[in-house]
Amino acid sequence: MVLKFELKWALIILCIVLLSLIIPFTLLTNLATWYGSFLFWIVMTVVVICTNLYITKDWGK
Amino acid sequence: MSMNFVWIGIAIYVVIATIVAFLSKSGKQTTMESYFLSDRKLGGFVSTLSYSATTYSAFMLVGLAGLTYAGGVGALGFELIYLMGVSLVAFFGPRFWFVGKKYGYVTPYEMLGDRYQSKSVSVIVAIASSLFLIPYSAVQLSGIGYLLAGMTDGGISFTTGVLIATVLAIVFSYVAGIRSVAWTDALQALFMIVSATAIVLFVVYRLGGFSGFFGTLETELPDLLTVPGNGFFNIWTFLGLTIPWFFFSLSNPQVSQRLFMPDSLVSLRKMILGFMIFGLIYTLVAIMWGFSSAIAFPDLEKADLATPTLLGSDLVPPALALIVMIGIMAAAISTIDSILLTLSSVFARDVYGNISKESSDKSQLLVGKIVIPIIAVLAYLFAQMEMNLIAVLSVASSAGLLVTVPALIGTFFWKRGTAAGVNASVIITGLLVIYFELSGYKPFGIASGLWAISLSTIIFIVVSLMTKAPKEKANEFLSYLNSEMKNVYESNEKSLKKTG
Repeated sequence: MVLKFELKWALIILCIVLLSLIIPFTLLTNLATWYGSFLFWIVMTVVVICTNLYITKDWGK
Repeated sequence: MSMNFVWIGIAIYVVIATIVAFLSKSGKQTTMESYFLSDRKLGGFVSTLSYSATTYSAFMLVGLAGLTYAGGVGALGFELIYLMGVSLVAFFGPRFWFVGKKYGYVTPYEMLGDRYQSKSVSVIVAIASSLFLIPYSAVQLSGIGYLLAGMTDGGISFTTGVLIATVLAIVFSYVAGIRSVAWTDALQALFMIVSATAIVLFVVYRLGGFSGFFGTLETELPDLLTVPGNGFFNIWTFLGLTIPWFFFSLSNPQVSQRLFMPDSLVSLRKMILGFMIFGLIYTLVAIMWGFSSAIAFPDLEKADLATPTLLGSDLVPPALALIVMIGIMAAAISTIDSILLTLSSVFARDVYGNISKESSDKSQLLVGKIVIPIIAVLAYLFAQMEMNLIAVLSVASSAGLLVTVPALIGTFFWKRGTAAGVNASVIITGLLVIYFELSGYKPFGIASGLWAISLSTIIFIVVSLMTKAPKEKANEFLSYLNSEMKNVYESNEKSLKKTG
């Protein structure tokens, strides 16, 4: 079954993914610059990578 | 481009990769586990690069660059949301790894069959995934054929190109099984990322550097910097692409089988994190490549021509174009050989192993080795035929393989899942996906991938609830995993309890 720790982080990642679907199609539709959707998606991905770094920190210890 | 020049480039690549394939051989690989899983002793570094090379195919610098050309930054969003989906490995990875070791699973479908206590589950899911993955490999092969023929103006024929790729894929997978695949993958991944990054930086520099590059996009092609932009990436197209790919790390057996292979959880961790960083860089490179094409050649007839046109242009010196061409070839071959090896293990273990009464580990290995060239030849023939059905199945592969996802999730998280539920969801939804793709029918305008995941989930749940679950196995399987996972996250769980 799912552990509490996992559930908490799974929900956080799900929120980041949902934001990545919603924000570019709503708030950023008219921001035609590199710091619009382009940067937003890169930043969100970096956040997810850092989240994974944290979740897996105790693996194998 | 001069023919001699191209042949020398290909020859250097072939010689180096073949030497690596032979060097990777160590000891005798006389069991299924050693040949197909490297005895579950793959280190973190090789696992990372091999996972990356297997995942990223010729699609990136050709297809994704083309999508960027046609629809702009939405292509980045779709590919990066896929990458976020690899977080699924953080939850499923250790579970695959633990049960793989405990029960000796060689393929993900062997795991499904055992967990749901039904041989038919293994056989049906194995056949369904081959149905989508062999055509997918065929299209990768024909991609190499078109690339070589296009770049040499027919100097290297389409058939020669496909033949070179098929032979290399067989050699890389045959020499030492997963060891030669993993080591040649690792080499090819390094080549792919270093060459592509260097060349994209070069092209961006020639197009005015970062500020000049984006300045041109902002003033001349502003639609490419937003979604839906020019309308190509409307929300439904975007979701139709994104959702099937989001589950790629679970649905595609050539990558999910990798979760059985690392020598430790530490290596598994390195694999996911390393892959995510690799993926972010490679995605950005492919997107910038597509943008470069759009800036330099805004009036192409077809978006698929974005990469060949850029490679053949004055913007990229011939030596660099050759390096990119070999990089794309390497990306395709490193994907095909992994699929080849996975499918042969799936056929030997899940189809032959369950159907033949006299099957043993030794005979399965023999069957697996015989099947490798057969699948390769099949893919080669498909690549030659250019049949509509092949193309359709290949395009449908990401959506088609999704039908296995509910069963995989149920394996780890739902005691009530049953074999009948798995079989019904895979067969009915699999056939529906093929029908939707063949007929071009999109009920309510919704893409087949979205239908695949939602219908297969509903069918899996409903049929499971109407049939009897393998209670004993489910309890034993899940309580074993529960205790292992608790050990992994012991300190975190304790701190959550304290704060909560």
